[in-house]
Amino acid sequence: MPDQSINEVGTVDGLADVEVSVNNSPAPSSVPTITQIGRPYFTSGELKYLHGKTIKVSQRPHYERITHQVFQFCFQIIKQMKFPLRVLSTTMNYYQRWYLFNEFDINRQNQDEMEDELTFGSFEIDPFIIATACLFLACKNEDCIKKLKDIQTVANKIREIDDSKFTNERTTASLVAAASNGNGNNSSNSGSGNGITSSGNNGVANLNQYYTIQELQRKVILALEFKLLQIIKFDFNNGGSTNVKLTIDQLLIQFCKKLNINYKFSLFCWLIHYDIISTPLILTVSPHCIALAIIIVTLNLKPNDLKVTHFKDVEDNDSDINKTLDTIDSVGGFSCPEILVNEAIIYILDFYIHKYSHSILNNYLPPIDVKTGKDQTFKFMELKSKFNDLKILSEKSSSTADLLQQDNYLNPWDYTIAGKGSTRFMTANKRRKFATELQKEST
Amino acid sequence: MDAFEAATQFSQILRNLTPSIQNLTKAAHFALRNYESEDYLFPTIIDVLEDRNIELNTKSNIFQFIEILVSESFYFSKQSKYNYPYITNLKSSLPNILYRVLPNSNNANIHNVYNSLTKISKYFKIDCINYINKFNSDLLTNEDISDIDRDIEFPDIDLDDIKSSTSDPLLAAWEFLIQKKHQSQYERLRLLKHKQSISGNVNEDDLFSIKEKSNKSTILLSKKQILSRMEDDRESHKRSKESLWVVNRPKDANWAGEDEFYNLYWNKYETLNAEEDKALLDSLNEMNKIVAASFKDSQFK
Repeated sequence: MPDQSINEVGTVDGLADVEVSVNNSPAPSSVPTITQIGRPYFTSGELKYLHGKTIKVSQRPHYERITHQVFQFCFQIIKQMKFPLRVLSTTMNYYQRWYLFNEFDINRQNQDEMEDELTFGSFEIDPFIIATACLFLACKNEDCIKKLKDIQTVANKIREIDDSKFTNERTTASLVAAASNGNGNNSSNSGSGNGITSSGNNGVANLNQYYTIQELQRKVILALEFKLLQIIKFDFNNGGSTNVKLTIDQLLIQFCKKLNINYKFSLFCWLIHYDIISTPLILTVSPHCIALAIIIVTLNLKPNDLKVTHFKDVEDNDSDINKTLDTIDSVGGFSCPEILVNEAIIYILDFYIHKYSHSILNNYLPPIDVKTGKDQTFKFMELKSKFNDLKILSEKSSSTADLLQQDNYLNPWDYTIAGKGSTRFMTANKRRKFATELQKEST
Repeated sequence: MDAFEAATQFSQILRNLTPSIQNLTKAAHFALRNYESEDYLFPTIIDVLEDRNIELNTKSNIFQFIEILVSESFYFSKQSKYNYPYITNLKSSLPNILYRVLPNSNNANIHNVYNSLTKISKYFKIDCINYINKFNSDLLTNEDISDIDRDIEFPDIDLDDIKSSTSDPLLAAWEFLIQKKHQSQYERLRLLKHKQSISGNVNEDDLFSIKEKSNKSTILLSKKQILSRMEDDRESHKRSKESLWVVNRPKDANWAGEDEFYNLYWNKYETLNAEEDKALLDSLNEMNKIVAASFKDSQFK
């Protein structure tokens, strides 16, 4: 029986990492293993802390700008690949999750671009390649499987990249050849990137010594995918339950039908959802609570001036809408904890107050609200002032830097541990199973 | 390209058809580009199917090609230049085509034919739900069971009989397919009842030795053909799954628009009944546990 020390660290109420180190022999060669219980949702304080580590303050605007571009880019891919919208939603979830644990460095990226650096390292930090990797994993997880090569072709066409060009990265075969060629320093190594280089002393031209962009991208994307799987803690339910895969869009339309909400308002809800899937709210609040929050915001705004082409139903009068609002029982009727719905409501209103002009919704509403004669943003501000005293998520456990630092789950993730095959990931609802295992081990 | 040249080239295309969507679509586009030579190209399809040297896998591919050709022809005919090329000819010959793709007692292609015929019926806007139900049901009668017990072969299916009893060739094709399915169920049971089964391990070569190398018949498949068929079927299965999720959006769209909401959400989702609603709420409650465990503070009960 190996000697075991079980060490539970960084817990406030028993969650976070559980580190189990196992000693198989008296020799000091202990292999640390980690069991991580996935925490798919983070409070905004935790998100801020994590971003503080990965994105420098000066780079925050760049991060937001690039995230917006990535969203557009991914939409173009899903449009051309004919993927359903849920693939976009999952992609954005993965993409944003990635930058909680991995550095965003626009300066390095810009420098690479200026120097036309086409290496594994430069590809690995390129947000658009990271987004492609996210999309690749998302399409598999959403059961809309396409070959990586097809996705790459579409992505590169959108980015106007000629992916048959050679990179500065040598192929493994050429490295082996170089090594067997004496010291390996004879071959031309200036990184000319033309793919045809002479091997120096024997003068024989080696074709394909360098990867093409397409080949190197593929290598990078597959490597990123493995890292990404660890970032999402191998949770293929995207923080949902195991029986049914639930996405915001599906839940939203289901809730709208349940509440008998008219076409125009349902469309309005759906447009908000489309804006929201690119925001970090999906890392804080679960899909059902976001869906309900969107409905509550919509019913409060009563957006009768939304432009629709398909279905011109009779406008509901205000008192009917208010009645619907009153009947919403978030816990009993929709299994949505109120505090999460509140968190989402506030976030959505803030989002439109600050970013209305960049939103999708902006394209569907007249610039000036017909009823009030004011800019549309005012409606969101007015509504927010009504919701000022809503109780939102408690941040006690992440209120101080000390407390946050103690939480091992928020530390940079060490990919090398998983590389050795000694990491185990579980979802929170399987934790009980783990507890019994621990008990068994300790007896 | 003159009609004769087009027909020769088309024949080559059909003989070398693979079931990848690109290849099938390419072949369909060739046919549509040369729609003026339909009088030559359509008989080529029938000729290739009637060729004794054409193997079963190719016939299955050709039927999948026919499905694509129908769909593309309808699509092309949105332009005034096209007037539903091949549609009339294909429809009237469907029973005969099926007869060639599902020859004698070999029903290896039955499932692919069923998938394609279901889609073809949709393009023709013909309600075939009864046939679909029939196809997926147990078709054996008591009489069949007693015949199987007596080890009697399934009687030959008379195509002319079917054609004379049904006026619409598409429905005749369905009738024929149902009879083939009937035959396949019958023969399967007969095989199980009257042939010895082997227990224990069988090595790979024996497993695939359905067809002797010297046997030139195209009714049975060789090992290579079986393996390539498995690969092809995997491909076409993937393709059939694609139709479940494919979303067509306008080319110049910069975001998902109202049409998508109208077609894929508003018209697709119905209000849940009480039982479904309860099941949904149960899984949401399950999700709540994961959410609660995700936060370190106790946020809700």
